[in-house]
Amino acid sequence: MHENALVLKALHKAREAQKKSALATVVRVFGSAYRREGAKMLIDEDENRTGMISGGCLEADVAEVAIEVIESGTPILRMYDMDEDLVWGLGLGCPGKVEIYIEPVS
Amino acid sequence: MSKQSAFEAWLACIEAEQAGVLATILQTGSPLTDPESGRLFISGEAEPMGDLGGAEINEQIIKIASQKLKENNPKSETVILILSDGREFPIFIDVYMPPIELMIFGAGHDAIPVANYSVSLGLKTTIVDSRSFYNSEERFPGTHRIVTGEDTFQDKLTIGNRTYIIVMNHHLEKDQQTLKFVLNSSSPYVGLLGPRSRRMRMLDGLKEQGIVFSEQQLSRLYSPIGLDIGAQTSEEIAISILAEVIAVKNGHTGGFLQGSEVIHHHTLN
Repeated sequence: MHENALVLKALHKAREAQKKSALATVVRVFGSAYRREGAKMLIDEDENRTGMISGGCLEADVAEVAIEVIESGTPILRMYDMDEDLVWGLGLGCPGKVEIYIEPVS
Repeated sequence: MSKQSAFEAWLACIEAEQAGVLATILQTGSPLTDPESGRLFISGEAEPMGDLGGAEINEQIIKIASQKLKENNPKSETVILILSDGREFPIFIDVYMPPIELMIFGAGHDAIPVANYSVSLGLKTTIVDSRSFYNSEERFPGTHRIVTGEDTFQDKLTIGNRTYIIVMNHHLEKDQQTLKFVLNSSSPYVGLLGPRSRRMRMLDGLKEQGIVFSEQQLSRLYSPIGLDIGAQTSEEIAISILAEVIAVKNGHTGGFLQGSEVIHHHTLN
């Protein structure tokens, strides 16, 4: 609730500065995850981030994808499997999967 | 459907703290030529805005969204819509509900951490106390303060079904008068500070005045207030109270998660 307002504020700020941005939203959760459907993060073209879409594991990667989305104008739907050690090498070990939609907003 | 901007309407609804739903087709693979295509905004206030690409799909989503807006605790989710011609669309239904209001009766020292945690949780926080010296911005930053006594509650306070109430005047008579007022509202939660015996004394006192509450009214009375975490300091008590408020708002019962199969479950309310 509170977060939606923060993201909104960040979007206003990006617009005022005439910066492009992308909005990342958790759209599907399978199993356990820190954030639920509707959690949001706004990323502007300078990679400033507002809001959280995970417990800190996915933000950096999603921000990189967001830059791609801002440049191409093409939204991306990405599934993150939190249990895949191979992908992350971090051994997050959460049994959940999270799907995140990253779309350009202007 | 009008082509007015659904996304802008959604932003305006968040800004105005009004409930609303934004439905977005999860489209990938090609640049969005029109950023407004594939979106539909639905609120209880006005006509739907935007277009998901056809009357059938719009109607189905409006139906789902309207249902969600009626729920106490609606969840955002992705639905896969299958049209009569067999086409399938994944659509994200994002539900915005304005923050609940926490109305605290009593501006004593122990209300300060309650208000602080409430503000940091993003709840709309209101303090009600007739003593302006205590009920001040300095003591309760970020809150809305209503300096009024029991006699003028009727005129000064608006309590709806998203107003959660905490009664902590530390004054028997005041608490009693407050209960008399708030239990007759549509508030889903009335937390009362103090032990069971004190509550009984107040309710008995009201009974003697001919004021009796129904089972339904009393089912919203949480007394003793808070989750059982053995709270002792006013900071700990505030955590215990706010944890209970969150649990009630989310339709959960509180308690340890230790050993639970799932963390989040779908609730019926």
